[in-house]
Amino acid sequence: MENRCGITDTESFFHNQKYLYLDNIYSPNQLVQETVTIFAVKRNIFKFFFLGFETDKNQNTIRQYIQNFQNSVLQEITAVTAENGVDIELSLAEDNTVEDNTAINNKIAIEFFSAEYYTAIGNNGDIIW
Amino acid sequence: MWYKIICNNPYLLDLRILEKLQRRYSALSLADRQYIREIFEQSDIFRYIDNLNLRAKILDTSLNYSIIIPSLKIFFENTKYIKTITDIVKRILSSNSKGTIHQTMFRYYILSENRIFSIQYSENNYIERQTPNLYSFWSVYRQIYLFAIYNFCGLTDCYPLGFICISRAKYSDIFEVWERFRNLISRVGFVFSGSTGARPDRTEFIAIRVFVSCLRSPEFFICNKSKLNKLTVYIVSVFFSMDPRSIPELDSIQI
Repeated sequence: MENRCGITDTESFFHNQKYLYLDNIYSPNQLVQETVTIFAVKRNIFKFFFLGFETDKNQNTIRQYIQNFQNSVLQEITAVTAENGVDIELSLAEDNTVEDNTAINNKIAIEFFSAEYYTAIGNNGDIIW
Repeated sequence: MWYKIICNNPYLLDLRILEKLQRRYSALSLADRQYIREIFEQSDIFRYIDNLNLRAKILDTSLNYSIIIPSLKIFFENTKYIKTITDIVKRILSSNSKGTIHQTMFRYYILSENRIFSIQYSENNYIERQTPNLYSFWSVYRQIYLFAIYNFCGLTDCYPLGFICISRAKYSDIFEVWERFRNLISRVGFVFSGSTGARPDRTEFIAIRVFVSCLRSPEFFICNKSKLNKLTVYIVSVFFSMDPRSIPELDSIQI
C-alpha cells in the first residue's frame, strides 16, 4: 500500500520504463485484476496531474495563448510596417480554432516578410535577403 | 473528491474513514473491492449512519471510484514526485521564461504544416499521426513529462527508492539519456535544443522559415515542406549554439 503514491521505488522504476508511453497511459482499456499493478499506480499519478484530452481544462489556456501570440505579432507588424510606409491588410479569424490560427500566423508572417522583401527591392533594386 | 465519496456529507468524514480508504484502488483491484465491502459490512467505518440508502450509496461510490482514493498525504507525496520531474523539464526551458511551463512550451512548439506529429511508443520507435485539433500539443507536452519520469534518475541527481550501485549499472549513461531527451524534444516538434542555454525564439523560427520559403517559392519549385522545416530547425539550432560576444569586445570594434 505504501508504494501507491510518491516517488517510485527501484523495481517499479525499471519495470515501468517499458510501458510509460502516451498511448499506454491514456488507453481506455484498464484491466481489473486481483491487485493493482505498479504500472497502474504510476498511470494514476500521471493522469491525476495531466488530464486526459477530453477533460483537459487547459484547452482554454491554449486558445488564450494563441490569441495573445496573434495579437503580439499583429502589433509588431503594424509598428514595423507603419515605420516603413508599407500598407498591409491584417485580420484575424473570428473562429479561433487551432488550424485556423496556425494558418493565420503563417500567413501574417509570410505577408509581413514578403512585404519587407519587395519594399527592399523597390528602394534600391537589390535583394536584401 | 472526498465530497463525491461521502455523497456531499462532509460531517461524516473522520480520520478513521480516511485511513481505511486512502490508497485503495477499487476501480482496478478486486482485493481492494473486497476489503472495502468487508469494512462496510463489519461497520468498521460509517458505523453511525442509520440511513441504509445513504450507506449503500457511499459503498457504491467507494467501490466504483475511478482513481486511487486520495488524501492530502498522498497528494503531497505525489507532488514531490512531480516536482522532481518538473525540475527536469524546466532545464530545457530558458531561465527567464515568463508564464507557466505549459505556456512556455507552447511558445516553442511548431506543428508541421501537414499536421503530422510523432508519438513515442518504445525507446527508439515512434508512430506518426495527423490531427486537425489541439491533440498534437496536448500529446507532445505529456510525452516530454513521461520521458522525464521514466528516465529521471539519469537526468537528475535523484534516484528511485532503494537505488543502489548495482541498479546504477543497469542504467544508461547520463549523456546518452540527455541525448535521447533532446532527440525526443526535437522529434515531437519543439524548436529549442534541450540544453540549459539560450532558446530560439518562435518569431525567429518563423522568420527563417519564411526566408527559406522565399528562396524556393512554392510557386516556382516543387518543395518538400518537411525538409524545409528540418532545415529551419537546423539553422535555428546553429544560431543558438553561438555564444554572444562580450560587451568589451563589441566596444573595441572601431568603425
